[in-house]
Amino acid sequence: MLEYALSYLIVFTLVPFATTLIADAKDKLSTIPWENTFEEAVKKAKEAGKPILLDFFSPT
Amino acid sequence: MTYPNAAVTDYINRNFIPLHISTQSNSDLLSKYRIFWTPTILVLDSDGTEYYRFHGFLPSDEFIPQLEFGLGKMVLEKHDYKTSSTKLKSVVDKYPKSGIAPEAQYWLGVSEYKATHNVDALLNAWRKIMNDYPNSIWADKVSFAF
Repeated sequence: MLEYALSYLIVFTLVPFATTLIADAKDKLSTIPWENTFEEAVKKAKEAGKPILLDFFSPT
Repeated sequence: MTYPNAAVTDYINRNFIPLHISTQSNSDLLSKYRIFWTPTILVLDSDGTEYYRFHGFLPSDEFIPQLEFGLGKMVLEKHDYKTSSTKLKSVVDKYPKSGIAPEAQYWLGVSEYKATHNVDALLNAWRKIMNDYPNSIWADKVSFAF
């Protein structure tokens, strides 16, 4: 009985926590830190020694 | 959408400083880069000089090769032939079925030739276009050499 109780306790406490961690990890994977100004992008590109990916988009 | 794809975001974050500009927010850049349609994606060097662009939505297995090709073209035009050969070869090796692969193979030949001044290097690369992409316009472009 005690084992069942502990199992339920683990499932209901740790699973939501783990799900949150996985969701956070996915968000971090899919996040692009877009710059919003040309000047700032050029500054960061020079500092990082990287080229710039410029995406022109139409707001929906 | 291409951007939520983890491989795409990872590629962008590793290789670029990403800049997002709304067509309704910055008319100076729209004019500077002659933007008339969206999405338009440009590869710029750190000074803001344009080296490659493409238009329209693409799936991730076409989007990443386009970016890799853009990086290859940029360093080719900057006469960094070792890096351009590496980038362009990676487009062909990793994404042989992508739409940009035949053009990458063409410029890989040019890059190899520029690096070595060896005509055989150019012809070997171009022969691969004839063999692997015989129906592409790039096969037509190199057909005079064979």
